[in-house]
Amino acid sequence: MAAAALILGVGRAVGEAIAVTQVIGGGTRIGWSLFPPADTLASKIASSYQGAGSGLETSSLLYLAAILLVLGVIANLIAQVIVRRFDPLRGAR
Amino acid sequence: MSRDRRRRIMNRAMEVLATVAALVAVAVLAIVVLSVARRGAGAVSWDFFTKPQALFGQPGGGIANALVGTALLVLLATAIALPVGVLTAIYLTEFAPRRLAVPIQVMIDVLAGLPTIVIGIFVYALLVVGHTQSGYAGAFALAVIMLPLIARATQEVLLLVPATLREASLALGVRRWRTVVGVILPTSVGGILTGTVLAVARAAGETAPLLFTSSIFANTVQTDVTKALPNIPVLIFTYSEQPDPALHQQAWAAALVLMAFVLLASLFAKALLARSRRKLAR
Repeated sequence: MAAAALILGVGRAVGEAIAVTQVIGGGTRIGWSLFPPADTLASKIASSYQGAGSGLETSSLLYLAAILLVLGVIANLIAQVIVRRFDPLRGAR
Repeated sequence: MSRDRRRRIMNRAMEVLATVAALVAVAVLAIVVLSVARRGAGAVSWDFFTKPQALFGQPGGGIANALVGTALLVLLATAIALPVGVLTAIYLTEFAPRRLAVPIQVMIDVLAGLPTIVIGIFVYALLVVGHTQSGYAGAFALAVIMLPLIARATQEVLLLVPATLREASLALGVRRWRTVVGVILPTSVGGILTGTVLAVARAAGETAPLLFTSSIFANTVQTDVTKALPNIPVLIFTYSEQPDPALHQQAWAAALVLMAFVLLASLFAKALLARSRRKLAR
């Protein structure tokens, strides 16, 4: 159960957009230091909200969202599997 | 050191650690509330609630347009999510065979756990690309977020309805749908309301789904849902990115208003739930 909670928590954090966007700064360099501005999948999407100009830009945003979606679905399914081992019906009669 | 003593010390240490962790969780909330209140209280005034946003670069102004817009968005979202959510819960608890109920349940739980920005961009691709941002697109995105919350809450309260009530109704020869409408729903209306209030509180504060669907809005009061509706979360987000300190303070104040609303709504929901639990227990 605790494992499920951990996975759900990580899933929430990975997908959190606004709180991260406000403080992460938006950088494109990849490095090991935690201090320069950077971006996460979600913050990159959120900071592009002013509207995607071209079709390619829209597609890129949707691609980022697709990655997040797959991560989110996988994390939640794993958590569900764990929870259901303890409570197979979970709400259904 | 005897083994017994070591175990005693270990036990004590873990207890202290757990207590500290709980205190930290409470402290985080307290610090957030206090710091928002301290920074925002100065800008809260009558004008702040009754005046729309000031024109760019001009002083003063309030959040009236965003208040109206958020109210409209949440109202519309509730109108979409409440019937679908309640019907989903009724289907799952009353009608669905188990081999269907379980996968549907899994999917609803997964939907509830998806990042909200994904839902925002999904609705953006669905309703905004090729058109413009609009209130109904924003409301639809919020509805997607509210739906699993309402469905879950309704389901939980439907399961609390005593089996004897159901059986009594069926024993009188009442048809199943009539049992649902006449017996089960009236018994569980309190719990459904609780879930709805909590979902409303959640939706009112969601920024990510509105960022792509209802973020480029006029600074006047707007009630046309085919245009982007001003709303509190996006206002806070955009103000906080501005260089003007006056706007920062307004963002804090708007955050204070939003937080107060969510807090009050949660307390109200708790009271409602306690009341309907008592009624069900009788």
